Amino acid sequence: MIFTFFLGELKPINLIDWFDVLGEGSITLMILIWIFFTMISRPKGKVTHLLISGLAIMQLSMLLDFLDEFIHYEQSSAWITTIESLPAPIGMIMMTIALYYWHQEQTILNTQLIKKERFYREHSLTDYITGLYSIEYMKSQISREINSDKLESNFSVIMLDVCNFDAFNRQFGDIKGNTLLREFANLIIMNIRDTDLACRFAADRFIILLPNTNQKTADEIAHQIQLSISHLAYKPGHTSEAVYHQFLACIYQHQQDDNYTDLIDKLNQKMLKTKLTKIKKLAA
Amino acid sequence: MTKLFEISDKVLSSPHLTVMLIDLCLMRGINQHKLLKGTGLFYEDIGKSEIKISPLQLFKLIENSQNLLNSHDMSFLLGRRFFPGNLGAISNVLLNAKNLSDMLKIIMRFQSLLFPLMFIQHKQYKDKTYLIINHAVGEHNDKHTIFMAELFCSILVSAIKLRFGQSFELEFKFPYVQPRHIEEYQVTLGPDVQFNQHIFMIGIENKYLNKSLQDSSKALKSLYISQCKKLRVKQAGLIQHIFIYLYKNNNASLEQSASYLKISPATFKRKLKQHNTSFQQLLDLVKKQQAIYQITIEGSNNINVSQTLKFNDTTNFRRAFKRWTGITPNTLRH
Repeated sequence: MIFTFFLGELKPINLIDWFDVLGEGSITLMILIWIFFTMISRPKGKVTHLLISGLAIMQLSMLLDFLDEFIHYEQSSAWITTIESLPAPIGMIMMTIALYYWHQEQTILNTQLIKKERFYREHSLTDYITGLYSIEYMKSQISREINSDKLESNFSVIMLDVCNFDAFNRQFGDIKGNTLLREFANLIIMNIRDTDLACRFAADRFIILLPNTNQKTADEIAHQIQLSISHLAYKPGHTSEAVYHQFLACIYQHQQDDNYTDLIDKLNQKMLKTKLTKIKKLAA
Repeated sequence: MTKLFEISDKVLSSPHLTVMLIDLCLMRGINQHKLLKGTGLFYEDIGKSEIKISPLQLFKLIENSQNLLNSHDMSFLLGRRFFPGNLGAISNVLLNAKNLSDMLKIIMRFQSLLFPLMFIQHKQYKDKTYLIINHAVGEHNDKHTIFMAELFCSILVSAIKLRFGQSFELEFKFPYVQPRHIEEYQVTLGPDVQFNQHIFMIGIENKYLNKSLQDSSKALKSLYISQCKKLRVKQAGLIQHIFIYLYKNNNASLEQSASYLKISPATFKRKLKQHNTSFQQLLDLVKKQQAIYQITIEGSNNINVSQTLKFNDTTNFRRAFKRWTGITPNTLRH
């Protein structure tokens, strides 16, 4: 900027085209804002570096163009006006490459996310603690299954409940409790198929929707999750001392005339019974 | 003589609930300035034990947390952490109660130490015990009513689970419409949860009340009770005090109630207005709850209820009931 002042001299005020100043000024400002948001929202990496460099180069071009409106250049320094538009396409090319990489990155992310989100993304529906979708999203997805055009909607739902989670929370505190819940969520996701959807129901209870799945397959998957959870050696401290957990699981295959509320009620009832049997077993 | 406190009196000496709420909110990444905005509280003061806050300040804090956090489990989480907690001697009294019935008795006796913002009326019919719960300094708004009810139930359920190692099947009736986050109720409170009941009531089967706790000590209990007695200031919320008075004298007039409180009717009216209610509203609330209890639990007919509530005839009672609830007594029965 100082360099341009050095080369040229200020235009008299009556020669300035304020319309151009407004247009070019706002473009310059907007690009600055883009750079700001890119910097705060993207994690560090190749894509981000490219995006920011591209934007910065475009910013240079736009700034020179903007300063043109105020500065008149001598004949000998007129080369600056000829090259001022040169950085812009370079910046654009860099950004295009960045976008291409971004696309690749997103494709990989999407395959990782696919078990968490089924059809569309709606970040207001996620659960803060586990990163899974909240029950609102599950509600819409189960209703979608129930109301689907298929002659026979054939799906199962698994409900999972952590045993003695309250005791863990009391002993190690809520922060550790939340971390543990997140670990559970990750393990659940690893153990379900691409077509299934896992959500947090409430508190320490999870729910999984398994489309086109009968009771037998759902039983197997539930068992696999239980097995996997029981092997998770969660370490709340810095030592190798680990706490193990068990999941109670209830499986329900959708019957033709159940609506969402019926289905959840039946699962909750089943869970209550499972809990009672377990308590009786422990007492015996 | 019972000391009365009002909504803006700085009487809540136990910072327990406040600190836990702030803790939970900060853990979820809420900005502390936004959380405390308008409460008149300073973060530096929160942990100090001599700090006293008013119910209004606590309500504002709850409201802020509800607005800032887009989650509905805060009340349930708080409830889960509340007991046994660091409530001093009263925690130890409760931990040495010999059964649930004993625990409830202690809770009601030391309500002002334990949970000054809500009070319990205790009734028994056939093989069930019922707790009717109301607000000691009135209800702030709908969201506040829901939060406090959830908190109360969650505390009770968690305390039972902690002491007995299992959940009991309790019956819950709530005065408001079913909230969207019904899943929290299902997981924490169990299957018997009803909404739109015009009353906040919890039913407990008597068989649970006498289930004895092995690890309780009578001697320790009396030791801690004597400590609590020293701590206890006999205090009650203004609305709570009038509510109980009207419950016993449901024909009392505004003037009589004011003179019972030793204040002028004008001051009385002004105070009620500060608590977001009026004399008529309170009287209606007292009578409505009594009528609903008698009809739904005791199965009383209109003649009996009219007599208890001192209505001249059943027509008047039916009309009043319709005004309170929007439905007739017969609709409620079916």
